[in-house]
Amino acid sequence: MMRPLLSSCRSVVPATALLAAVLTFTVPAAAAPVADLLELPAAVNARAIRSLQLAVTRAGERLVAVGERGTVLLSDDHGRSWRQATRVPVSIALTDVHFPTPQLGWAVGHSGVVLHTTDGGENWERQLDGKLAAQLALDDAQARAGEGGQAARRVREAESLVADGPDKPLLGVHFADAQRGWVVGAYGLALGTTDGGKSWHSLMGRIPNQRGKHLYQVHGDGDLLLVSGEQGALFRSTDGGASFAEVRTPYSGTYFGILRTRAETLMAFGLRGNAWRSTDGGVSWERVDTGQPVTIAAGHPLKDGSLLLGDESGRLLRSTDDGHSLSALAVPPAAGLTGFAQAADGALILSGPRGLTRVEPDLLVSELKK
Amino acid sequence: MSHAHALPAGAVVADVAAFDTRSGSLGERLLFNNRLVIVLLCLAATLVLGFQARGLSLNAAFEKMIPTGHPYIANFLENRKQLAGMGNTLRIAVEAKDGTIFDPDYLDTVRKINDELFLLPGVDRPYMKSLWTPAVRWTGVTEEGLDGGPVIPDDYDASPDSLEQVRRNVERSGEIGQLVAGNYKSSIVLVPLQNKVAETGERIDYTRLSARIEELRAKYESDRVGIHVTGFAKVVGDLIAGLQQVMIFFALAIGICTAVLYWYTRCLRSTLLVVLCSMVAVVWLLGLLPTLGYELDPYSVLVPFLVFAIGMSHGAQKMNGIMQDIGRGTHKLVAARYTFRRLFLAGVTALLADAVGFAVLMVIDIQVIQDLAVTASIGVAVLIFTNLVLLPILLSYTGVSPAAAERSLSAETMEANDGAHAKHPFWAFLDLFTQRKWAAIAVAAGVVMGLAGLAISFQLKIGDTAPGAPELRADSRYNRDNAFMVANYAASSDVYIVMVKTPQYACAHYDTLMSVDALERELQQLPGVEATSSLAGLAKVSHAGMNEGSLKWFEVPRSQDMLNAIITRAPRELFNQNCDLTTVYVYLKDHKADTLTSVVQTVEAFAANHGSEEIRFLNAAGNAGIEAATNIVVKKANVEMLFLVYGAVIILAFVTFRSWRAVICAVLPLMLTSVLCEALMVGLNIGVKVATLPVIALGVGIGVDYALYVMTVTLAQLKNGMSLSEAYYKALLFTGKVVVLTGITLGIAVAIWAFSPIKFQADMGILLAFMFVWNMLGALILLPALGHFLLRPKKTVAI
Repeated sequence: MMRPLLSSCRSVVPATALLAAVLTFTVPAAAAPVADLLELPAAVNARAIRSLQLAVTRAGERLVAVGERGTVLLSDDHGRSWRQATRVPVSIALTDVHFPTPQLGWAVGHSGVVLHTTDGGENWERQLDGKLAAQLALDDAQARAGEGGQAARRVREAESLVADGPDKPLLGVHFADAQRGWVVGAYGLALGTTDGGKSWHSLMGRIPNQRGKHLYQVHGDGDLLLVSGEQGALFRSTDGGASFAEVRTPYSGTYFGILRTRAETLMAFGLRGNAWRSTDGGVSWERVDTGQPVTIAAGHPLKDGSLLLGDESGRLLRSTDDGHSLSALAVPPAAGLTGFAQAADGALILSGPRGLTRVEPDLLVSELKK
Repeated sequence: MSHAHALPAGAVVADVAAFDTRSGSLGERLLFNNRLVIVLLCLAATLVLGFQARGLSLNAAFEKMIPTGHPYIANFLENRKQLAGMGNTLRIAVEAKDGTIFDPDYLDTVRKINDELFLLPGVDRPYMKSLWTPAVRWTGVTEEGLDGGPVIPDDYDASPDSLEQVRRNVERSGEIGQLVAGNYKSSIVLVPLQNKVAETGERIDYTRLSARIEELRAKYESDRVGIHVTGFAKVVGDLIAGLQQVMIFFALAIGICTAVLYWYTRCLRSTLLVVLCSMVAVVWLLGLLPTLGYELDPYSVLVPFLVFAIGMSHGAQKMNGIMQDIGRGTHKLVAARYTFRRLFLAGVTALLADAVGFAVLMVIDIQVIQDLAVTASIGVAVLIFTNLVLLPILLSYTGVSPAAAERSLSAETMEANDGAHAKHPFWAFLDLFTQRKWAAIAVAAGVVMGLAGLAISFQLKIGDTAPGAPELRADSRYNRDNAFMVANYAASSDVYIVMVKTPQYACAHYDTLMSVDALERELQQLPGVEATSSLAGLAKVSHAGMNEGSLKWFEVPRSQDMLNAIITRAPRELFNQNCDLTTVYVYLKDHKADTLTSVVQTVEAFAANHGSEEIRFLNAAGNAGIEAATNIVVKKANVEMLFLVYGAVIILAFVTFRSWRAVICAVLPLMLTSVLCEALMVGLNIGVKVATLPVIALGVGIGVDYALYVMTVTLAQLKNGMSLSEAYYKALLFTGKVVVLTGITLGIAVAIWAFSPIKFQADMGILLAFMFVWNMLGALILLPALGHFLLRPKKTVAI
């Protein structure tokens, strides 16, 4: 499945002959008996702690990070030192991780994989993969086939999901508690569980994501469930994921995330430095000045109630006025920032291409002079 | 070699008229009865070859330095045409000494350098890369999709705005650490070279290429701009430039050898004659090389030194003989003929022994070494004419100075009357080693040194041990430039390339990429591997790039459509036109043998486990891959060569001595020297490499001369019923001086290389000097000591 993005590419390296050759690809029989990444347990090696990490979160006092090649890293000293998890059953890139309790956690990744741990991240088991997810989507679409409207299209889409195989990554995961959780991903892939992941159901029929836009994050806060994605996609559920409504914003680029502050202000952030806030539950939006047109990869509230955004150049932007204004922190930029979490001792743990970086708590309040 | 019959013989003939010109062998009559013709022929040959020598070129082709027969290299050569950027690339870093690269003057300088390099012959222009080449692009993400263009925009006008545009483009070009240093203080012009100049079909002239680059350096380097150049072509260029300096050492060697010879003979006339003949040999050699289609490379350039030094020592013998005869009153022409008669065969045999050492090098499947062997063989063959034929003939005209002849005679008389050996304390000291106590001490010391040397030599490394270009010294301009590159750019200078062959159009198939990714995963576990890159890695980056740069997409997409889209924008370094070949680049910390071996073994094991008809994993390209193959060949050749050279020397010695005991006495000291030489290499941190391979062969081949000189005379005297002590002392008087003289002249000639700007020449010089001198000592000390235990007049003489 090709993204429409490509066709709008302004300049392609001239390789016409090659292009022709490649497009007439004849797929030969599988050659080398190399295990599929879904079947290959993640290797434990010294380089893992310096490898690309895509998300980091707290599991009680512990910090858990996930990244390329099925790497799961654990730290019990607030991010000063890291070690690899004992057992991860896949070697595919993991994109997001969430722990509703210190022991119970879920991670998602490419090929639609969902992993689950019951021991604080030491050992993981696979609960779901892309094949099963596609089948669930098809089952759900077929069950709703009689509902009319978009139902027929959904069935067709679900059929092509099954035909494509497990090639869609999951990009976001959130669990409200030990039982209820949601995962979202590419091409509108979205599933939920109410039994701690033992069984999953497709949410694709409940989210009004008509063009199958990529969904990057699912954020939960009490009853509220927020999903953000590409081309300005924002969806909100106030009934624990039973139904979703679209939230319209003035921006039509990708939102990599959305959060709700203590004051119940919504803040959506994403491509090219776009950050938008709404104080009226998403009816009206105002743009927040982020200073640079660099993609904002992650954002979370901190313990002190302030708000922190991190962009891909590694700049950290803090707001102490509920997201009204932002100012850059005086920390050395860690290029390629993918996410961050606040450790129990207040330090900030950044994930990125070279593993994880700890930013001491006192640096979090020192603002960069403009 | 056989000096047994080289004792003064023949009647003293003072009047040339009384001499029977029909006496002597056919060869002697042919040569000496037509003296003038021979001299004129030699003169003509010298003039012609001297003229020819002007056409001699210095060069070093890439293929000549690598073992082209090794399967890894065969893989590389087979696939080289299909892949860009393999092997021979120049990297020219232009440094902004103050400020950053985002400066109009700086960018203008880079543009000029880029344009000048573009026009150099032999540059593979489509693959050239710099800030100014259109192939270097940025890509960015917008709400509408991907955007991209050349890093320096088409409408660049040096204004602050467009400089800011350049900075932004550089930041999203993915070239930071590749073409642009992380500190923005330098950028690289990447110049891939063709094997042959496309316009003319000729091989690249590295001397001229390097000179052109030095011109560029001189032209653009200033207080504000620094130029740093690395790459094989520059190494070769610098090597050849270093060879110019080698000429100075050559002059120095001539001076010192002449002084030693003069000290020995005290006869200016004949000393100059010997030097002249040895020089003639060198001129012939240098003339014959271009005539036969050879050229000098950094290895074979050392051969003239050796030829000169060997010529000096053989010339000294001829002169010595003639001097003794003239001293006794023989006419100079007759003396020359006598000497020729006595020593020609011996000289030829000794030179043949030297040639064995060279010839053995032919088994090494590396062309520079084979060329070295051929060059040295030609040199030795030439010596037969110049120093065994021309020299005696010239001496028959000039004679020697009366004072020198007188001195020679009085020494002979004195020695004959010196029963107590009182006049020669040094010879008398050496004679002690024929007695039980001293012999036991010497043998015990030899055994201890041998064992210690052996223990140390187990640590001997194969391959290069130093960072940068090991051919050049650590503080050379090149290696400082190389250090600059390593410090400022992510790409290491040691690149190992694994070639992955697939069916046509399958190079980017998901299964192929998964195999490549699995190989990378294993390689990344090796401590010597800094990073890897491949189509699989590129697929991950592109997958993220196509999804608005989000790293969450950093995984090989399973969708073949997506992969096909990715490969259309992949750089050509990673796959070929047919898409049946893709490469895995492995960037190494260094090119030490251990590092290379670990990579070779990992790839071989992976190929054995996961390779099939459909997908083959082939070693090896890249400078580190080629070096790995070279190491394998060198390691094997090192053992083979030792067997061959010792086999040859043992046979030669047996043919000469007809006594196994004598062979043992002659060869064991050589073996001790070989072992100690390896220990010395460990001590000096010199690995076994292309440059050190010839050392042991040459050391043993030439070193056996000493043993031959001493042993033949000793055996002859033993046969006459003398005791070992008497026989040995006699041998010392007759040939000991020549052995010492040879050891010293050869030792000096090669020790001078230690000052060469070229590291491997220095290494060779030190090691060869050690071998020559130590072999000399072995022949003078260990040989009689072993003889004490093995050679008894009554038992052995009869054999």
